[in-house]
Amino acid sequence: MEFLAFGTISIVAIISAFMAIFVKSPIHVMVWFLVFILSVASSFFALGADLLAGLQLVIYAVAIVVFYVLVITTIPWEKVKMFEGFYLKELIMALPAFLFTIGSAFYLTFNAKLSNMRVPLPKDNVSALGTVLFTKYIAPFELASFILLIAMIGAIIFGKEKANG
Amino acid sequence: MDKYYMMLGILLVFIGICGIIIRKNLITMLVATEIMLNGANVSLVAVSHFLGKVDSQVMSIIILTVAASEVAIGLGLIVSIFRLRGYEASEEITELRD
Amino acid sequence: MPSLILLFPLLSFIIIGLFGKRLGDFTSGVINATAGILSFLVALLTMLNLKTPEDIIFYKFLPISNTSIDMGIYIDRLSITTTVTVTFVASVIFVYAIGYMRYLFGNWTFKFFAYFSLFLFSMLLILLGDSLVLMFFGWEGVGLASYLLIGYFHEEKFATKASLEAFVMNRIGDWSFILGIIYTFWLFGSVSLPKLFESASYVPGITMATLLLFGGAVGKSGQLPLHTWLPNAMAGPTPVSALLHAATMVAAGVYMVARLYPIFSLSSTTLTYITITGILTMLFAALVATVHDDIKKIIAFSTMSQLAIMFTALGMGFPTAAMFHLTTHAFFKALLFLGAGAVITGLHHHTQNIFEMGGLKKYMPITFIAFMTGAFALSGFPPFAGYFSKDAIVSSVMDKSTLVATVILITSLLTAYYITREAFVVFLGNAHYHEEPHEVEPIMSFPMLILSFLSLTGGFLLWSYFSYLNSDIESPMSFVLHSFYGILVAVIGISVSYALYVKKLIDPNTLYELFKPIHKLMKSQFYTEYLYHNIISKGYLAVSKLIYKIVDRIMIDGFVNGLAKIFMVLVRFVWEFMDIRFIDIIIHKLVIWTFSFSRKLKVIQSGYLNQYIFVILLGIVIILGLIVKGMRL
Repeated sequence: MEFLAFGTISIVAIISAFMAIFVKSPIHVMVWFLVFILSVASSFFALGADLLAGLQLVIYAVAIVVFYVLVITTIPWEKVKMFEGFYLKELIMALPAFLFTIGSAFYLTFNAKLSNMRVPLPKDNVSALGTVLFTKYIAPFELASFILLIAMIGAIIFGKEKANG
Repeated sequence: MDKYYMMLGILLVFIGICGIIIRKNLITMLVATEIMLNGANVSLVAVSHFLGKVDSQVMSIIILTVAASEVAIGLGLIVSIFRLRGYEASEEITELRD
Repeated sequence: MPSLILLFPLLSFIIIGLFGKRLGDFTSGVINATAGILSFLVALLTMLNLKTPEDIIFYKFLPISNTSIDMGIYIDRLSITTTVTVTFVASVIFVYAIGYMRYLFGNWTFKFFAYFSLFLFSMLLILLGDSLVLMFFGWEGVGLASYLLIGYFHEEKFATKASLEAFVMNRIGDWSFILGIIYTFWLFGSVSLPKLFESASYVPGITMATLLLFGGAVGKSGQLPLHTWLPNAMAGPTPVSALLHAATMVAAGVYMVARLYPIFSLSSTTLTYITITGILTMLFAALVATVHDDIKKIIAFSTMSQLAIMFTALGMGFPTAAMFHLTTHAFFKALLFLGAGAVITGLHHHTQNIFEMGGLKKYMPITFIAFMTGAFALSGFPPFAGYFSKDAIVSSVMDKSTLVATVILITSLLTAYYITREAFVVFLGNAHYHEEPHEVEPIMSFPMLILSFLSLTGGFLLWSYFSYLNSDIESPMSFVLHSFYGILVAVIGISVSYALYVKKLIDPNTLYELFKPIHKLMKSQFYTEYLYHNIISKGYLAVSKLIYKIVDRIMIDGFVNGLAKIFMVLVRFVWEFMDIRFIDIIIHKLVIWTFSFSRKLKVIQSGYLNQYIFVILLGIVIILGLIVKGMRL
């Protein structure tokens, strides 16, 4: 049963990722990207990380994709050439590296002996996560909020019109 | 089972790198970056499922947060570049100043 | 306490040397004289308190394996009596010198007094030093002082030449002396005087050592063949001539032989040689003195002659007689020189030729009395001091060798002749002067009177002197009897000169015409001066000039210049062949290559984002590979 879930999720993820990077128009890219997000979220569900899945959906599928689409619409695509082709040369040059790395990583992962350390996850994921987050990892949590604040300020500054100075 | 999720995660990361190398448009390059991040997240959650602890999920949350802010900044930069130069292909933005 | 004898003149030298300019010339002269007088007083006190010979060591100079060369003073009867004499005469002359140099005050005359103090200090080192090394230091010191003082009028060419001549001849003597010291050290293992006296015994080679030591005395005392400097040394101021070249410095040679007599007496060859030198020199000097007419040169030759008599006495084996003659000689020779200086001052330094003077008796009576006293003392006329000391020598020598005694008597005859000749020509007769001469001031005449008194009465100390030094001498009665010949020759000499120059029985000029070739021979010092100056030194200079021209200029300079030319040619060749071809081209190529390489390298920095990311990927791959390699699978 698990394998089935895993198989579906992985196939969808890989295909959507490939399509996301190979299609021409940016909007098509965004569509495939959305599919990709959903598949990743479902993989989180399959692995028992409920909160993460929810967060993933909210942040990515809602905020980030919308943001991308917004920016894509600000570009006057009639003045700018929409697609100019791929850097195929680099891809071909990189393929051996990819193959080598992926091959070795798969080999290593496959041959790793993990079975004797298996412990089941707590059932209530949200409360467990919340407990850990607010006790052990309070510092990174606060820093993350700080980063968000800075990013917000930065985004506002970027967004200003030049005339306002 | 977790092994395979890890392999999936690694594969996604490399697909993301591949995407960055290939694309010319800056926006789509950022999308590929997001793919990479998501791949990393998958790996982390697989680890958490294997270990039975939620600590790596915390890391995953933080990565998520940071990814969001990074997208915001990145797109803001792209908008500025476009306003300045009038184009946003990585081919033409090669020099820091004209 | 006896070290104070040495300390006073040394202090005086240092004080005058450093502060003389500020102290002024007169004060420097006073300091100088005071130091001399103080030294004399301390020496006198030491002599009166002396019981046994003592050796006071100051300082271990040079420790060598089992011996060491020390510096100290050695006081025994011989050295202390000579020290008393020397310091006394020196003090008297120092006082005189203040008056004599007065006409030069304001012209850095304090230098003169500083040199005088230096001289006295070095002389005392010779007299009191307890090792040959210290004696040598003093030897060199007096040589230096002599050079400085003879050449005191350093703007006159003649004076500088004379001082250099004195120094060089002295140096030749010193060379022999130091070889002698080394040889003595090698023979006996020590240079310390007490040790030498103890270990003096005949060893083969002692003749050579003593001959070498005597060589030093020859140079210092102006005996043949190192004699030409002594008459020329009269170029210095008169107090210098009085002190150095009459009473003390030239006597250092005699003292040295007398001091080392335990060693000299072991080699009869050396003693014979000393006697021969003495005889030759005394005759030579006496003959030459009879024809000179410079007031100081005559006295200088008489010094040479009297020293020769002392050396003869030493050679014949009578050191005490020689030393006594040294003492009295110091008195009357200094007196003669001071008188000559007074005459020169009185005539306002116009002339030093005796035939341009005359009749000074009525102008300078005190000087006249002093000079006559000295002249009679020198002639050996009783009861003046010279009679006692000279006849002590004659009678002692007569027993051993009639020949030597005869030579001494002939010399005494000549001595009486020439010194009274000088005295009569200068003081008697009548002459008129352009500028009237005047008597000298008391500061100069008082020392002369002291010395006159001593020249008159000093001879009577003969018996106490000999008994103090533990030597034998005949009783006064037999002494007077044996001195018959001495008195005879003195009378003959004085009367001959009286007849010639006062009464003018025979006209000196006709005599001169008669004996002209002999006169020329003797006047030029038997051509020794000509020999030394023109042939030896000029020849040496010519040879060295020739060598300079040939070797230095042609060979060495030519060689060096040629080498330089070859070097330049070589350099040019290297530059053309190697520099331009290899090095310049290499550098040019290097530059071009660097530029092209950098141009190729610039491609990496393209600005293309995708390319950068690709490179990052490659880097990641490499790192991953390394990690994998390090992992244990």
